[in-house]
Amino acid sequence: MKTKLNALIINSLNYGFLIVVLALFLFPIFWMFLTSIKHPVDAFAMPPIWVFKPTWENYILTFLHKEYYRYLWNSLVVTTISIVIATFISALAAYGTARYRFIGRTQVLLGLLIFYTIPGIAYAIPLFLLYSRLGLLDTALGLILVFTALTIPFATWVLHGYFVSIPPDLEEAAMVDGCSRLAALFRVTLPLAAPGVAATAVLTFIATWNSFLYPAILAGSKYKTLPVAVAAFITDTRIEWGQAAAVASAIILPVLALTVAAQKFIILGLTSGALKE
Amino acid sequence: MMSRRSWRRHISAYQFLAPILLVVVAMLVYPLLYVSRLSFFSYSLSQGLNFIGWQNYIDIAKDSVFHIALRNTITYSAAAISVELVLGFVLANTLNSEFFGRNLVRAFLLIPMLASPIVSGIMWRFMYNPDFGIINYFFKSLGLPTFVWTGNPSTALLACIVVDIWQYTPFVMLLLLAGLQSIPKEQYEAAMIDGATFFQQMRHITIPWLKPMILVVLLMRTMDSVKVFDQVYALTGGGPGVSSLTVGVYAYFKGFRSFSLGYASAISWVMALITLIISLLYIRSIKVPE
Repeated sequence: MKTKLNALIINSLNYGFLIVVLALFLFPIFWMFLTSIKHPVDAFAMPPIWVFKPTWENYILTFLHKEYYRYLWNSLVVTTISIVIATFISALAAYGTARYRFIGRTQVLLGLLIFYTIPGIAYAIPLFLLYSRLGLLDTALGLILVFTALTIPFATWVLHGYFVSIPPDLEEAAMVDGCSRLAALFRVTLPLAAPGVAATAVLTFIATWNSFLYPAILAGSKYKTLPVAVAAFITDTRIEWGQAAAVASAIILPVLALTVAAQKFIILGLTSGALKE
Repeated sequence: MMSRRSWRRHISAYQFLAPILLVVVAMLVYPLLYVSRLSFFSYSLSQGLNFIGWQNYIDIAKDSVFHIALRNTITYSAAAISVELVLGFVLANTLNSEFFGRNLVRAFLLIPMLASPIVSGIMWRFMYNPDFGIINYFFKSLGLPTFVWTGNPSTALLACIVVDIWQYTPFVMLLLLAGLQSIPKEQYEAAMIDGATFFQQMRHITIPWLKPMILVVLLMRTMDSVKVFDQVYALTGGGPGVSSLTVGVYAYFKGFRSFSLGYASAISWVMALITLIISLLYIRSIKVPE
């Protein structure tokens, strides 16, 4: 009886704690979204207004009347193309490191890890000078190149872990039946590794989609991405918070949708990236 | 002499690696070599490049703003990471027991970590606003004093640290939770039979088993916070004055506000060196999966 009561108390304490934590961690995003569907006057009201008639005015003002639909499009195109290419290249490389013992294997893997940890500004400065010489500044190609390159190290590491965990027996059987190695990779191993590939793609998509430093330096007005566009709000003397919130929500909402849809994959990918004991 | 078969194996392995090596050499290795060369030059828009040897590094050693930025970065990292570890540990322990709605809570907690850092900076800037910000409103309703959070030199860095804690505690929690779940249940069962208290279990089972994971978390978070840029840039821009300036933001300003690209290159190499040392420690603590 006493232990039951104890368990009840501990349980409700846990729930109480978690509710407080969830409220604190989710409030900022909730508040921003609320601001984005308020009338400008209501956004600045003090004390804050909790109940109001929602309006899409801020979204219409930014995405229909201003240039933001283009930035959204830029973000979408550049991110998607980079992730498709990077996932493909990383899958090939990870397959190579997982299936073969060759000279330089450990060095390649550890080298990738080091490239992943170097601060972005160390790449951004030389790339800025190189791009301006090659005419790649403010082009989609320039952004795709840099995003692809930066995605590859992390993606290869995570995929390497997945390929190692898939037994090679099946593809060997396929090869005995006359499949080439590449065909075996694409018909047998890749479908088996699909959850891992999806996890990697989702995570790298989110990181690229959110990226600010590179597009801020390497892209100008033509290929501006959404994060750069939203940052421009803060340099204005009079910030249009409602519109800033609308653009910021447009950055977060796709990520939110991806998180909900691919929750399992994301947790899988995040933990496997770090968990190679 | 290697046999013919083994040569063939090396060659076919490198066929799979050819695209990645091409991209990495062109887009990562070459820029890094270029930036290290650049760090020995002075660069100005009017005069172009001039070789000056180690002068940039000597200047960095004497640069008082750099010293402040370094100190801020260390304070930022130490404060943020220690809170994230403690809070992440408590949360991971809470989420490690089975209860109704556990997966939902875990899913919701992922959200801050996946938000764009630049967006979190802007979002919090809005909440920190002294006139219409919700944080001061909450403080006032609770009878607490209000602050000009991001506009006051004594609270600006703290404001940045809070955002970091908000954004990355979920990540720490997730990794520690994965670590907790790898601890064999029998360990606790045996301890229960022996009548070990909760704190004894923590001290003799949980913490020792979790140690490698704690180390990984610590190194990953340190690497990230040494180069922190987006959130601070959006939240305070390093200000007011230099009160919340971090090394990452300073390098950006030097490079792309005053266009001292040589000097900025040298700063970015100092940063790279710091993360390099940490990542070597990190590499020692992990193994390449076989």
